[in-house]
Amino acid sequence: MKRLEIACLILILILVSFRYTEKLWKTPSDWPEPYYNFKKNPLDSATIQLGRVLFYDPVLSSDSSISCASCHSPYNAFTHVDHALSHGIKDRIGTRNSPVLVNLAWGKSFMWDGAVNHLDMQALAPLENQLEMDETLAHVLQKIGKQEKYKRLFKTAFHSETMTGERFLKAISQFMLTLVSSNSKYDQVIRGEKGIQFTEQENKGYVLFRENCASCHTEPLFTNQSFENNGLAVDSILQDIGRMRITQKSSDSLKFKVPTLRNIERSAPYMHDGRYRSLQMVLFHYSSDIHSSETLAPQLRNGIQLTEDDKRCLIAFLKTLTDYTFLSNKQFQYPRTP
Amino acid sequence: MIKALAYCLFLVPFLGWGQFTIDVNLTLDNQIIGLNNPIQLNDHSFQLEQVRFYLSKFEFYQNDQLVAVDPAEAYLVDFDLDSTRKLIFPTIQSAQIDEIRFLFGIDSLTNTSGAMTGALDPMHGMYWSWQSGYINCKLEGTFLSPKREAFQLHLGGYMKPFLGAQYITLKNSKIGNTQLDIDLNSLMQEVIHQKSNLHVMSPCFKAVEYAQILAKSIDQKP
Repeated sequence: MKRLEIACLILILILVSFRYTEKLWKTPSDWPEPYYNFKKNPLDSATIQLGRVLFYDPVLSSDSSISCASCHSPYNAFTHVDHALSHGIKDRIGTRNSPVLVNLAWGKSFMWDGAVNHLDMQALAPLENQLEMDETLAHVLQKIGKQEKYKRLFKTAFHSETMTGERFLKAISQFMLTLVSSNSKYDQVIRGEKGIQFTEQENKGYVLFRENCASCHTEPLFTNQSFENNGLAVDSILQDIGRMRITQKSSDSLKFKVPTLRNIERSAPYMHDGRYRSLQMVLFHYSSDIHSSETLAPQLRNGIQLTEDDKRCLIAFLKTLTDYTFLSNKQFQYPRTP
Repeated sequence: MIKALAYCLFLVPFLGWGQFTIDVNLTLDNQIIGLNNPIQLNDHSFQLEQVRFYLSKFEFYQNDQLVAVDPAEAYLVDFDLDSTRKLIFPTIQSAQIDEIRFLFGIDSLTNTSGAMTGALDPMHGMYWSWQSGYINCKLEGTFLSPKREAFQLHLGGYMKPFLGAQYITLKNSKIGNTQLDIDLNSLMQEVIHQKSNLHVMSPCFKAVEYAQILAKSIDQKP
């Protein structure tokens, strides 16, 4: 009898923990399964909170002036405002536009050139980049190891105060994994929510989008995660060769990761070097300013033929990808009571 | 009596009896060398300032049959830390094996598995940050003569065609613990010969070539 009671208790505990995990992660309906392996880093509210505190803490930079959030602000879909290129410590300027942090659980590679192969390792890149945070992981661990706040947070998350690189990186991953944007007007329309529908202009824009853009900006993530040359002329100062820097294959020259378009209304400036400040400029590029080269995406050989009205409609559609629930989610913002 | 015997058997691994160990040395022409001392090679002299590398995925064989797989993911050998030069395999009995297989570096799967712990923790500075992947081997130093020049070799790469990890097979001909000598003669000759490649710090053909030279320079001494 006692054995039965113990077995029931274990079963209840398993079910409770399963429900708890389910609450922390829910794949939006009709979306593909995430690429991230949650089994190796199961979401846990205490670890997410630790990751969130780390994300907003400038102690991660060598002079304690820059946090992850400095270039990835929640109000701008976790990217930078005003800066074409990332802005590091001591007003140093990086070489690429900071990307949005959204729906990262589906990401197969990270950074504009796909240099980072796993979300857990992504935070290392800005942390150790001399133009950004200019720190080392070992030194950051030393610094936070002296803070009671972090001893408490690590203890709560990992049942031990020991601060390792693995725990640090996985905690930041956990916070970033929670940044799911799936409740824009577009999503509500697709889900057939009552009373929500596209305007005529948005609808025309959606049709144009599917005809001209969706091969790369594939729904529902609005990226197919491939690397493409979208016809940007090479910046004479940056001389950025894109994906080729990683693979050293000439066939990857000038190719950059196709970014998601979710929350694009809030994530200006655009492109890997932030050269365009508005969506109008982006559409001007695709319709009238494609720079031809050997690796140019075949879909863009003749540019995208768009009238001015088409452009207005496309922009109206793109604005339906703004997810106000995501942008104002307090769980994603600065942790006021860590 | 049986209890006492059981205690003794329990203590055997802790006393180091029977467990297999490997001592790793750096050599040049069979002479053991260390960091921060001038080393003469032909008409050049140089000093090593940092030598760190990963050895991983140890497997132990007898008569070509797998006897045991080491549970440790990897060992980070750092010539600045003497304790890391001795690899201890508590569950392996040297009498049981006649061949050791391992990787000089880290395999591709581990390189794509996210944040790891222990020797593979990125906090050890053996993980590239501007791109993904472990640095299989860091070898840094300065040529002192005929011209003072620094050299920095960060050898790694986990994607084709720049696969940096090297498979090593050693026959354990003598029963007992073993010494692993890595002779830098061939590598340093090549570095001197290829003076234009004193700074190899990303996955590339030169990094693979240097790693292959190092792998061939690994020898086992009883």
